[in-house]
Amino acid sequence: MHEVALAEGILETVLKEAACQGRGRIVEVRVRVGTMTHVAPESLRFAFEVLARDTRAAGARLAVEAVAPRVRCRICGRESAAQAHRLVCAACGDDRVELIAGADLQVESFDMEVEE
Amino acid sequence: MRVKLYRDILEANDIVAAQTRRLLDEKGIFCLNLIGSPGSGKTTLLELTVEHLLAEGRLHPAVIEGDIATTRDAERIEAKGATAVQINTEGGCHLDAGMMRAALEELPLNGTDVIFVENVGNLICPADFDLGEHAKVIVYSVAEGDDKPLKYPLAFRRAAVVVISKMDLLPHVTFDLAKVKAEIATINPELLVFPLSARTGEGLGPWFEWVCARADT
Repeated sequence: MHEVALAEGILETVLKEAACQGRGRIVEVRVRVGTMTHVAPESLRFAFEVLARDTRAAGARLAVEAVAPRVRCRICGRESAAQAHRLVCAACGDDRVELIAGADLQVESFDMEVEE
Repeated sequence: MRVKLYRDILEANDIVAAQTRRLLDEKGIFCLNLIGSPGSGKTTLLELTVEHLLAEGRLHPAVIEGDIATTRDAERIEAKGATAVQINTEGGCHLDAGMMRAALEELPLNGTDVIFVENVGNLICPADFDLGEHAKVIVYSVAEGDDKPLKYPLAFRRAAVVVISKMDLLPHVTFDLAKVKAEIATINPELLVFPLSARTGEGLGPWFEWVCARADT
């Protein structure tokens, strides 16, 4: 729902990092978005595309990897997939779990052209 | 060339939030972030809570009101005798740590014991943004349908308390409280549930006690 604010955050992050890495264009940015965040990938891509114009990320592709919920059980120690509304350990059934994936909002990496 | 980052998009927000939390801890201030749908009863709950704290006289409250527009909510709180600061996001669907920090600068922190933040009416976005609070409180009225935990699990996962408000309307709406509690338990077993009615006063005691107990530690 606040994809514009997030797109701004993504752009700022990659532009700041790219400034330390040389002068090439940014061609692709990969982000991980947990499905529990309710962020719409298409809206995020659109917002990013608009904001990136006139920057060195203009025309860059935003690849969004949707991350499903996963939990780590505090009782048996095992990690398992979980549903957003049922965060329980698939191995032992306990509900005392840590949410280890599914709420991510992360810039994983980006590709830039190397200018000679 | 591939540059690997693994950096949180909201890292900038979270850094400010952590600084805010440290500042609040230094000043001995307990801070709650109230989230909930528009009309869930957040402002009314705060009016009553602030009134109670002022009457008791031990813990001094202040309120940060977040809304897209108008100063209505801050005025309601001030009418009860408490200090309130209004943030208008002018379209933004949530408060962020930067807005929170700016609002804090307008409050007399020395002499304040509890700060309540009333977030913009919305169960989605505020769940993502740490403001520097000590706990999130969801205000969820019985008039909203009993499927909200299912629809907004992240908000319920990240909250410490859910206030089930408008309990006086229970005979007139479809709301299975037992089912809601069971569904909440599979999302966040540690979530405390306080069913209450601002109108009748039912259930307010446990909520006030929880606020005071947490503010005292």
